[in-house]
Amino acid sequence: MKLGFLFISIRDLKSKKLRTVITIVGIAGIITSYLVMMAAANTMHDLVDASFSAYEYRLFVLKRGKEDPMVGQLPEWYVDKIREKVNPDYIDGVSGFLWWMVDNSTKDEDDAEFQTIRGLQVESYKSVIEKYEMIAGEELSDAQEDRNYCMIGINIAEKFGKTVGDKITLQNHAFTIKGIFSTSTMIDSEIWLTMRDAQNLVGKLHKVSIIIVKVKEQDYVDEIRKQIEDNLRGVAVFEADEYMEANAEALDSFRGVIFAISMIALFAAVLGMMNTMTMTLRERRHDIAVMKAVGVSNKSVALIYSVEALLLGFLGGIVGVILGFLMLNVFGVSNIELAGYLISVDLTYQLAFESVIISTILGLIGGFYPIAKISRQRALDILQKFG
Amino acid sequence: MKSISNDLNVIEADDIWKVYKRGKTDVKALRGVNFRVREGEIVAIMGPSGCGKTTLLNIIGGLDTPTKGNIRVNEIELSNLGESKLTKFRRENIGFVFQFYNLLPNLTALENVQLPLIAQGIPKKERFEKAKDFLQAVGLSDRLYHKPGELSGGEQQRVAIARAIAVQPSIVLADEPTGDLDTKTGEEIMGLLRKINEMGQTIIIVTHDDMIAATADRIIKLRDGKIIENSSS
Ligand SMILES: Nc1ncnc2c1ncn2[C@@H]1O[C@H](COP(=O)(O)OP(=O)(O)OP(=O)(O)O)[C@@H](O)[C@H]1O
Ligand SMILES: [Mg+2]
Repeated sequence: MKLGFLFISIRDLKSKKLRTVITIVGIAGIITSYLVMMAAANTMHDLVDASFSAYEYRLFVLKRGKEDPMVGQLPEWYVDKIREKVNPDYIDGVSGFLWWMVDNSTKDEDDAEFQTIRGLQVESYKSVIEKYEMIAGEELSDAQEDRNYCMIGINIAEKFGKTVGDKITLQNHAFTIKGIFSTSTMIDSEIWLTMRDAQNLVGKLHKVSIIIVKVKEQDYVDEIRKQIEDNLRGVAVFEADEYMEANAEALDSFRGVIFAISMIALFAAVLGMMNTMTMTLRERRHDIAVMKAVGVSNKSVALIYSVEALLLGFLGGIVGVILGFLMLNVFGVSNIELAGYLISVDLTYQLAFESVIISTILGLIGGFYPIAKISRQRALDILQKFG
Repeated sequence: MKSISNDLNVIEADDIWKVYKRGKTDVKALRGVNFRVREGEIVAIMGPSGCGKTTLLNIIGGLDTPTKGNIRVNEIELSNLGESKLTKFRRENIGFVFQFYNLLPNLTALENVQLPLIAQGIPKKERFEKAKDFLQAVGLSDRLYHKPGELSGGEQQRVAIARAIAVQPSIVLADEPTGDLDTKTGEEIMGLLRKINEMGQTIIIVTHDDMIAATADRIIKLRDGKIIENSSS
């Protein structure tokens, strides 16, 4: 195996410019779609993970029979009732939320379309929401003073280019942005108002849609759950895990589909490479026979063309990553809207690196069979058959 | 004055048979060929088309193996060597010159000549200098960076000769090296081969041309896969 031959690989690629470019672009297209799909899948996975851990030890209290927090309506005083009835030593906090989604897609004057809005009990919400950080401005803290103010998640701020002091219009009602928060969970796509504003906006006075209870330790969860169920009528109590399991499962099967599609795409890339290398080697077989006749070993021949296949895969990977980066960051398809949540897809260095490696390996795999086949043939047989 | 060794045989062929299967019939390309070639000889192989000249040359050069019989080249028994050993043998012992040059079209003259040098693992600078020297020796010092497509037939054959002798093999095998060239160019090529021979390399030429054969030390005539004449010219 002699590295001195490798200039032939490059010369070969250069002498068939069109084919080289077509092959690279073809692989690049597949790598781009692979990259974007995997980035989306990874982002979802991270979100689900983060959301799970953010809701550890939480109990969700919902209206029985209407276990969707977007719909279920509980009396606001249930919050105080829970505080009163459960063992205070076992819990860190209780807070009610009014939680719904606005469909403003048809109204031009509204900034938010399909946005999730949450009404907060400002004095208690922080005791049940964890991993929560202010990026700018201040949080809502006073039920009276903070009327007509709102807090928005980082994703909303980025999507609409809003900052502290700007106004955001919800159902013809203007709210001034007081602060921007970040949780690294799906909550980052929400708009938060004081409870009173939220109830007015949606016409549900003295109602909340969900009550979240944060329990101190896993050991107390069952006990607290029982205490709530015993003292409140018509409620269903879920552990956060349990409740989110369904969401997670849906996302997981979505990821499974993405993964399967990616694999098919990668397989197509291998076939494409195989085709290109078969064509290339068919054209080069006379050269190959001559090289062997003058004493170039099978290994060296295999090396020359493997490097050619490897370079095609590698360049396809690089171009694919660049295209993926442009798609996500310049043409801005990085924000996928899913059920009212904005999922921002990030191209990580690791994923970019992995994609280039995968593409390079695909090139090698695609080239393997045709290369192995031709490099094993006798020089004379090729010369005699094809002159 | 060149010297032909009297006792050192570089090629010893004993009862060589080559049978090709073509469908159900056997084609006997060589039928019991025996001969010796001494170091430093120029031997011409002649005979009508299809008599087995190329087959014989390929067997001597380790591109093919006999169906039966023994072939020793530089004291190496080739008849039962495997592919990779044969490749190594060719690399170290044989220079080929083909009728249709067989240069790599994408490589320059200089790169084509370097191919066998790379195969031998000769360092970059050294092989570059060597290739340049040999191209100069065949009169192509002003064509170093030309590709085969940009060279005439005679020039291409000179590149092929430079490639064949670049690793200074002990034996050069040429299969109708002038067959595709006009008489004058053919004579120039022959002049080159003789010059190489004077430096001590053994040369075997397959040719149809009596004039060329006449300049050889010996002529081996084949017919129907057998030697019918083996004489000094
Ligand atoms: N691979 C092969 N398969 C079958 N028959 C073959 C093969 N190679 C050569 N032959 C046959 O063997 C015989 C000798 O062929 P060879 O090429 O050695 O002839 P040659 O003397 O070189 O002829 P020419 O002067 O036309 O080049 C011919 O009959 C040819 O058809
Ligand atoms: Mg012939």
